Amino acid sequence: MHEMGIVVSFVNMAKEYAVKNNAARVLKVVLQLGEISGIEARYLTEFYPVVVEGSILEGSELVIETIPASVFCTDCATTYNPVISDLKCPTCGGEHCDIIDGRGLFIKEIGIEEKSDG
Amino acid sequence: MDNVRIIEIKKSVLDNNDKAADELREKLKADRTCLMNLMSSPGSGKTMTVIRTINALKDELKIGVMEADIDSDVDAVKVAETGVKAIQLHTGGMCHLDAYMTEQGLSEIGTKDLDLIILENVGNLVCPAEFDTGASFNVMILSICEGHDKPLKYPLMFSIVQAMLINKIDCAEHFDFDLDKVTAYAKKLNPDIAIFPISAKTGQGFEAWVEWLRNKVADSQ
Repeated sequence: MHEMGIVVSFVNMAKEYAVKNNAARVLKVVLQLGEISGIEARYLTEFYPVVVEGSILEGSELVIETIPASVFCTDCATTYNPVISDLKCPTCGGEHCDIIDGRGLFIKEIGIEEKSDG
Repeated sequence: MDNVRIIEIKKSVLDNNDKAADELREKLKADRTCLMNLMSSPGSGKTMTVIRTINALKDELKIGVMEADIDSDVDAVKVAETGVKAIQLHTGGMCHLDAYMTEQGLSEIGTKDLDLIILENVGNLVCPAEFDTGASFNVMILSICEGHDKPLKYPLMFSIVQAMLINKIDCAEHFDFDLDKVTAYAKKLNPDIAIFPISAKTGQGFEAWVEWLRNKVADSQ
């Protein structure tokens, strides 16, 4: 169950940016989650409210966008989605590939409400 | 609302841990201390392997051990019987250690007076592979009862280690474990991997493993 640690990591990053940008509170956090990252979106969503409790992120919305997996077949040079094609290359049936995309987890952006002056 | 704004970040969430891990590696280098991150499934014989390795090297190296588990201190107590400094880290339910937890452990055990610190990670072939602990190098144990197909199922673990110990070879006749196959699978993922068949129980194969480790510690000092 490594999602809890990951939630703590990105919440801390979001907090850092929020404070730097004079935020009174954070309204939403948008993540981009790779399809083959090994991280379950469901758990991120479940742990999020617990981790942000009592911080300027409390009550904010967590949006998770999916980055589709993409691999390059080293046998025939086709680029394909390994999740859809059950790991095998749809062109040549090969199973040797380099991963191009879909392993990472990124914070794309956060929405904040700024402190009003004075 | 005029005061609502979107701030673009576009940063990897795992970046912070990677940065902390690199800093930790630098610090260890400056202290001339080598940190070995040891990973495996539960029950592969990690603690027994650690104990036999300590006994082979404790007269020439100052060794410390950090045992990471979700709960209990049975491993640290066992290791401490060898006479080296051993501490227990509790991950509080987490399935792996990250660089921050490793750093806390290191400040507790103290790096300056030690040549080699063995970090026995949480028993798990999945998550520990995904988080850089800041260790100088990574080693894994696969015991023959787990089967030779594990590199196919957990490729990341086999691709991030510098050495793999294949433990419990004294029981080989009772299992259909194929050493050639596991070697071929692992080398395909990681051509430079060093592989040592061992038995932590009988001591078989330890000479080559201990020699490799001795050289690795010398290299990092």
